[in-house]
Amino acid sequence: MTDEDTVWYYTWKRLNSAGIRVIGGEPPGGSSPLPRIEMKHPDKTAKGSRGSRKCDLYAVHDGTLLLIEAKDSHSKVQGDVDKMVDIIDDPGWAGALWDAMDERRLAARNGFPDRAAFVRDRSQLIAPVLAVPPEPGFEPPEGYLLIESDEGRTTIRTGRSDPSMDLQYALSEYLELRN
Amino acid sequence: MRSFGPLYSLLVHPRKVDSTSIWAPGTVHRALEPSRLVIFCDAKHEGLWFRDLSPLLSDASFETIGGRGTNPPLIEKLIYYDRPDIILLYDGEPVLVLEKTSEVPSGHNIGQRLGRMVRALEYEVPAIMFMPFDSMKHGKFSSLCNLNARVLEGYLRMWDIHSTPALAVNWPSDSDWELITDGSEDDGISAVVHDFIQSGFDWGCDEFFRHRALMAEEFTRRVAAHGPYGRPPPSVKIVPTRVLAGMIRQRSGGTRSLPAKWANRPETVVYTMGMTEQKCKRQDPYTGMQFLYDYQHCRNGPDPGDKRRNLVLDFPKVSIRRWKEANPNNPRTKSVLWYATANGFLLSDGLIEVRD
Repeated sequence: MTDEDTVWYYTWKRLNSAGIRVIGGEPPGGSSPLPRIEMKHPDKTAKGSRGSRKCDLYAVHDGTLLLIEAKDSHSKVQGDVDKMVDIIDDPGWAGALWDAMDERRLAARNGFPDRAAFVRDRSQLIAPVLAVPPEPGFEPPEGYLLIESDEGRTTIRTGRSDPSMDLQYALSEYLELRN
Repeated sequence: MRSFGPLYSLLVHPRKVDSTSIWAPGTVHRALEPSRLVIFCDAKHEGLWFRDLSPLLSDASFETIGGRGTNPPLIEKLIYYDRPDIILLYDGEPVLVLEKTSEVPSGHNIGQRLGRMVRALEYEVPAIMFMPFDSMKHGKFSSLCNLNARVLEGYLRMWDIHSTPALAVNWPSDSDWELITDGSEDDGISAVVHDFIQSGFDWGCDEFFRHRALMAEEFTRRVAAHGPYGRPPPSVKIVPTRVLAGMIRQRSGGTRSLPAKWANRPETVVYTMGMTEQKCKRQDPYTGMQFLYDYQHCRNGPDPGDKRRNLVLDFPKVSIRRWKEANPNNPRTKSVLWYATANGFLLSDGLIEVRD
């Protein structure tokens, strides 16, 4: 069985290899080699991480920010789906996401210089992505991109479409269709 | 300032070997069987990253480093001070310890990982630290952070003293001093690890010595740019040992005197930490920094007792009672690191002697 660490690692490495810029993230259990992007919601003032959210990986392609959540099984993704819906739907979370990127100088550097525009256009600028081990029968929620990773290969698909190993092409096609 | 040339003794004697060993000159490369490699890792993704550094690791198997007391005896020994990210085994024997961090190398940050490096060297296992030498710190006080160059001298001294390679390999930054994370950051560390494995774990392999030279150059360049790195920091004083004798008498109210064997060393390094009684139950980064100052200024041999100067850790705000309560010499806790190398602790009301 492919574990979550392996899904996380190969998703990161293969997106990088395909020329898709991975700008931040944190593996399961922490200790990230990537910049840690932690959102702190302005209305949630709890200390520490209780008022905060993080995604496993953040990547940028064709002017869109990809929020990527990795799991070792499709049966465990519902919490991540809800989290990404929150981040994209709630202007407070989207603003917190921009602030967290900006704190690490990642917002303007990656094509999101204007906070107000990022929050306003968040549903176009932010895309939700799930990363799991290959599971042919699994259909991701509508609007979600699915990355399937294990030690052997990484593919991208949406819905019931065929998985593609040409990550950059498949991603560009998905982003074009959603916009 | 010291100069650090190649270690010719290592080139002549890469490792203590018998003629049938994998390390025996001329036989090593042919004997290497990648399937006998085992990567012990702190987290699986770190093991996967390490395996990708060399095609010779592609058949290596993975094991996770477990909690204290749950690992094979060899691994237990190597994690006694602290857990490294990677321990590479060949035929059941550790051949390399590697630590990777993206943390900026400012101030005392570097100290937090020194113990695990030192432990590897104490067991004659080469140790590599892969870390940024210069990188941008983010957050409220964003700024460029440069490596505390003393650590480079520390690694060079560790290598000399243990006759075992201790390397710092730079994680490069881009022109804005942001860490590179597109995969190309691994080119340098990959070359080192691959060359070491390809050579049959030869401690005299080209990449080890190329990086040793780079470390020496970097140390010289950084001290030239920032003079204080060529001296101990303000918290570290090198004093005549008779001055320490006076401090011990004064702190203990005249009830303690200088331990006899300490008097054989004319000088003592006193590392002062301003911890209070309320906040003295801690280790990072001080326990790591003690190793740095020990190797830079005190040690002349592989055993912690091999010193040309005494090393005394000074806690002027903490009593003996409170110290023993907060930081016992208990192998099950991280506080055991306090007892790893210093001769003793000078506390507000006296002295705890750790070793001769």
